[in-house]
Amino acid sequence: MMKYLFMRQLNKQRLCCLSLVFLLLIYLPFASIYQNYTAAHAYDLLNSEEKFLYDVMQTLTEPLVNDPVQLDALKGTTWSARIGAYKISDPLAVVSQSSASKSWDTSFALTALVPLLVSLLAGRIFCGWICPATLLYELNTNFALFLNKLGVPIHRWDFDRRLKYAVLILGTLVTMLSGLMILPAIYPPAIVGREIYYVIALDGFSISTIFFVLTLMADTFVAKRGFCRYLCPGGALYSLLGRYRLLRIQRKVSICNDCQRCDSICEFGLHPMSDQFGQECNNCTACIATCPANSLQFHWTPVDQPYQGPGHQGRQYIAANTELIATDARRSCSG
Amino acid sequence: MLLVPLRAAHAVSQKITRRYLRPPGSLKEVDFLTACIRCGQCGEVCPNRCIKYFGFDEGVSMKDTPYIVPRVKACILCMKCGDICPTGAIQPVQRLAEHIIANVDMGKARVDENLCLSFQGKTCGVCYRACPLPDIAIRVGMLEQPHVLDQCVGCGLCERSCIQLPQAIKVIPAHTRLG
Amino acid sequence: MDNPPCLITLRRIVLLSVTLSCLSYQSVFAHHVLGRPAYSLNEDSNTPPSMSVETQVGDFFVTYMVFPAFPKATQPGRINLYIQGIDEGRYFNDNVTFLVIDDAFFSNRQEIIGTQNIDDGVYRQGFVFKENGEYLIRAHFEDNEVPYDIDFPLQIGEHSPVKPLVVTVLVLLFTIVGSNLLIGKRAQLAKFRAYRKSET
Repeated sequence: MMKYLFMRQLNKQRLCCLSLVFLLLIYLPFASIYQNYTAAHAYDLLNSEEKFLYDVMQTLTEPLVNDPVQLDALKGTTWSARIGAYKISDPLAVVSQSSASKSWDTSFALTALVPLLVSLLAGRIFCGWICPATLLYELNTNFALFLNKLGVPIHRWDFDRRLKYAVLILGTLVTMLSGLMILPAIYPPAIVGREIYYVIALDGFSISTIFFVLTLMADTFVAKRGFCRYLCPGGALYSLLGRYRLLRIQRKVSICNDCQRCDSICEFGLHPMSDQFGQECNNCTACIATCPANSLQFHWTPVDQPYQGPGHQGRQYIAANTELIATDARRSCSG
Repeated sequence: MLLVPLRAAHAVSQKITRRYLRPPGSLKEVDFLTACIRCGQCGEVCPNRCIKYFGFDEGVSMKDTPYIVPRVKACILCMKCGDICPTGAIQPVQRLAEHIIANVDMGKARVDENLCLSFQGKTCGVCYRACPLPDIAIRVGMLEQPHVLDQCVGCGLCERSCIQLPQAIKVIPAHTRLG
Repeated sequence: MDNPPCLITLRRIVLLSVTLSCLSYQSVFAHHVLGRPAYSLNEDSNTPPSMSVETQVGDFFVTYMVFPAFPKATQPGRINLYIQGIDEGRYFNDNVTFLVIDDAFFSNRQEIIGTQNIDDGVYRQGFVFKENGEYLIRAHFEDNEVPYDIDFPLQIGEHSPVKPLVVTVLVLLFTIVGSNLLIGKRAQLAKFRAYRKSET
């Protein structure tokens, strides 16, 4: 029972994790500005807004570091970051850079090792738990429902999930042929990380924000999580890596009651009720949290179960097997 | 204009853009563009906040790559950007004079004798005093007239400090030099 | 090495809108950042304020300065233009024609302000604007049969400190977060209903 309670809380924890990443992305540019002011020893020459920033950052960081220079320990975004002595990068960055330069940089590739291993183990978990764009896209899905309540028609279309693999392959090919780094320009977590830095520490948003806002609007009016499901090259890469992931969600058919809540809540349009998770599942645990029968759980296994049929607590199964159930009941009563 | 960004990666000298420098320790422009992953960490770690990022105006190939405009904020050669760059688009260089002179080539300063006050008979010498490598990168003659030497690394502190409007000493970026 | 002829013909009309660099609109006050004094470009500063934009086009560095830094309507002002070759720093010597173009959305008014000779290394062009607004100053010159048209933005009068894109994004974020707070726990139910509706 405790295990089930814990499982149901995972979705909330995931939202906390996503929010934490987002807050870090906002904190880091302010830290960069604060470090500039401290390095310049220019407190007396700051204007009032700059002084306010300095004071707030000083209050926030003083308990953590002795010297503001130590704030260099944490820099970057989810695209590429440095934590202490370790650099960690998005595997898509490695794909992009090696295609563009048509050469292999082992030390850079190693910075993507941890994300690579985690993806092999847990699939598209970056998309569900870390990606800063995911937070905005998920909030946007609820916003779309809100609009729907007001009568506005929302995401009515579905496309082919394989489209994003074409985007990944095409993007890599174009990068190889032209030497242009187009993938970081269209990849939402890289965009969100950079744009937050630009608006806080530099002159303001760039054109990539417009692109991202357009994807938000497309998500609202065209297809739910349209970019993540059909166009994201990073999502495609993580899905490929996660094809034989060990950590996956599976349905316990004996307690499933076919209520369809899991199917309805899945942001990616997967079908847990039909045991269809596939490589696209990002382990977001929304289906686990919503299942009233606790029939969805994590398992350590490299393949999905084949379709197990209708849930044994559901109407369809009971109707088809009334005799069998009655016999079982009589047997258990008597024997 | 669509041709310009596609050419830019392979015909660097034909670019139409503002005069800019790459961070210290950067690879040659052509290699830089295919090594930089547009992560933004170099600007974030720069304690002088001199590193800015291109928008879309200079084309797709330049977008989100770092640059420095010395007249606005020059590079103080702290070399933190090289340490943090994950791909080596900016090579790490030790913060010692001989390493910096050997490995940093952002550009070379050039004095405009028409504008320079020292060449008009008014003793100035501010650029010489701003230089982090005086007598190595720049020397002064009569009336503090500046003469840029071969070992100038192109940090731009001289350009930043020049009191003439517009500045009489400018860094000619490494990627602009033909040959 | 000479530029191949095809690239020269491609550069027949070089139209460049240079976004104002940080030099112009940043309200940086007198600073001693890391020991290097920074000149202030605020209207009230001690150092002579001037708007300066620089670019690199073809074989030239072109620097454009405007006095005063924040020109206003009916106030006479001056443009200083410096054109130097990239390779040797040689000064360009021929005439430069200045035009002004109205940069407002639905306008294409343009007129020639004047043509100037080089004067001690500078091309000086005076101007007086009758109305506030956003304008482009175009400097036109020819070097070895290759025409150059270089546009620089010039704002006369006050400019709005609020950037429309930032406002749009903030409004959007506010709406999205706000609607999430409003829909709250009913989101799950709404999703379920929407799913059932799409199934039928």
